[in-house]
Amino acid sequence: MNQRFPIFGAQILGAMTPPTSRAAFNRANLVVRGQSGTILSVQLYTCEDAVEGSAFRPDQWEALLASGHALALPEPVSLVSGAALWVLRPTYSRRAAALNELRAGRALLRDYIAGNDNSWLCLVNEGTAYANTLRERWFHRAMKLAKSFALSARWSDVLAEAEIAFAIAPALDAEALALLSFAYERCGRSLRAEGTITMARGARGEDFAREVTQLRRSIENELSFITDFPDDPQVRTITQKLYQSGWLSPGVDGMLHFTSVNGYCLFLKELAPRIEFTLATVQNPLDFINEAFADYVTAILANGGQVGYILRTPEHEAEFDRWKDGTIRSMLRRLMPLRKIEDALMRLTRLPRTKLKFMHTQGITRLRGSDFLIGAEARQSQGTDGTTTSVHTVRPGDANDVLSYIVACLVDALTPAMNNDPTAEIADRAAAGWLLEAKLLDQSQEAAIRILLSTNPPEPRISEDRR
Amino acid sequence: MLTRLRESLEQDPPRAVAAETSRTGAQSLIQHCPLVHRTVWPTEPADERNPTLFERKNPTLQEILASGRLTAIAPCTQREVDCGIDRVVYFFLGCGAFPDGSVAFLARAAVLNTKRASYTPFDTGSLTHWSRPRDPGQSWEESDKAKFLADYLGVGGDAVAYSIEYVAAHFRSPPDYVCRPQRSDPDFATYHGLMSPSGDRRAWSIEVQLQEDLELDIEHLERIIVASHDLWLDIPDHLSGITPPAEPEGSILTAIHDYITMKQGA
Repeated sequence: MNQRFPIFGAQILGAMTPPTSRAAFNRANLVVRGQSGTILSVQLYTCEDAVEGSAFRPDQWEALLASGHALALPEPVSLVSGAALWVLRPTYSRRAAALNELRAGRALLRDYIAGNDNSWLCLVNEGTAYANTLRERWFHRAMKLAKSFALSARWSDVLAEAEIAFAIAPALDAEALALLSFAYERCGRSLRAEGTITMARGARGEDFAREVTQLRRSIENELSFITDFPDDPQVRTITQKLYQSGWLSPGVDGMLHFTSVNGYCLFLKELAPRIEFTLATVQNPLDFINEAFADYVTAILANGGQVGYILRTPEHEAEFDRWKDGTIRSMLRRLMPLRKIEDALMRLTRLPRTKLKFMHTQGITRLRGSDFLIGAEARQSQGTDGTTTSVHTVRPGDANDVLSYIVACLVDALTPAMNNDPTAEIADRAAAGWLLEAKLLDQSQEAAIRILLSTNPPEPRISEDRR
Repeated sequence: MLTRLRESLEQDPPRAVAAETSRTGAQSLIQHCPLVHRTVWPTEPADERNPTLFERKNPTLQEILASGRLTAIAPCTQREVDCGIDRVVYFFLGCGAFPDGSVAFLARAAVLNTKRASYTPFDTGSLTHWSRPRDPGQSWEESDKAKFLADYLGVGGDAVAYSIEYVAAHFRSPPDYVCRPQRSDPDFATYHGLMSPSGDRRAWSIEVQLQEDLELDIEHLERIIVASHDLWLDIPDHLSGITPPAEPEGSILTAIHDYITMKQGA
């Protein structure tokens, strides 16, 4: 029987939550006890500061607990309007960060409780806008991660994140359903892929199902070029770090391009809002590094332009050796003094030197013994395999300027988060960023990495105190 | 059952006229009504006469899905046992009158033609505590309850035909039978004379007692409605398409009503 009583004086005894679930996130209604001793499972909080729900007897509550349908708190907690239980299960890949955000935003009524299957049971005040904002944010993060994994054809990871997004979403989202359906299909679960669309139709009608279907088709088209990509654990690590750090999100404007001699590519997009990386579909860098390219780079350098290109393979070095153009060699020799770069990074980021160690020890140090070109251009070229490569111009300057510019842009992109995010996430982001640099520069001997900067980039906004 | 209902109408001509007006709508409605089973809720109203009969643990959703069926279990009350019901899965015809539980299984009414079943124009369990005769002078001892149940227990295969007449006889607008809130009354007082002092609709909603297991497949199920998105992830692939999450979260009753209304409209 439904009953209601005042919130004032009521206590939270526990919550109705399944003991286990495939979902990484569950939201559960609370079980509360009023001053009169009445126990009920909360269905709604009324505007008269009362709580309403299905009442049951104490022995029924005990039965609920005994049968594992509900959980009891170690001790009762005072009820506030809007309180609910959020269960962060171990399959939620970023639950530590999520918990920190709940804590930092003071959305928790008390610290989390360890539940079944190592779940974290969080009493959350949904009456505050912050809790719902967080849930939205987690949803968008999961969506972003799912898309990023899709770009590297990691379908099981795509599915995991799409399911997280679906579970967290407070309402059905057409794009999330489209991605979920797509992921099921790629994971060989065609029945559920179709079921997802059918479910959308059942929930919201034909128009909504059509929207989901169209979005799924868009996703398929967008990702069609990576269907047969091999699984590269290094690329996977980098991608994961990038997206977990929140630095990358899929888009259409820019991409960071990894390519290796055995002919596969990974496309990432939008390293930071103001740094654009160009899509390139070169299947083999050796196709790109040829006499024509040497002429091209020489011309660029002669005009004071810059191009970023990193080669690591012995074959590439041999290729360079065949280049007799002294201009290029001299450019390589005057490549940035390491210490100077490091100082610039520290000045820009105000991070300790330890944060730069990846770049120092694994990145630039190694790089110094390799070939590194700085030049500039903006053009498109046709590869031997018929694909198109875009190369964009960067502003004139030497190597220091380019790397400083990259870092400045990254810092600039991160500054709002640094100012607003009270958690340690920003430190993680920064660390992930340096790790990214390290990974970029520490590819296997087979790998070649090319970084192209955008055309006419804006001046980095570096505040005075950062200088 | 149907005869008694018709006799009651004959004694109330204005009501008979109203029923005649509603009949077409009631037929359209009931022919589209699934059988609604709410779960997962671990306890059910205990029968004080025989509490040991009901000390059981209802299965969790995962356990139900793992078994692939809604398993008929011992009935809630001895009265039902005395009426020959030894195993049962409870449903309401066309409404979620049982208000609790995070999942609703909506079975095809056609199962009433293929499986052993019975029905009552009220919640059998409510006779214990929550419902009583409208006439305050009427005796309502256990023996009265047992007789009342026996008098109003119909055979499952007749449930649809009966329900058309029942809804027509109680509602000016038949869809109200589906959509009335938990605490509400029909437009006309129940012909069987039962009422709920708290106004709970279980005093007049049609309960179906399926006396066999119900297989969880699309042959037997029209739809499963889950209270929240996360529960959908637990649903097996072959049932995922017929399992929309309730929107907004938790509003299963609304989702049931919307579905039946939509189905009737379609």
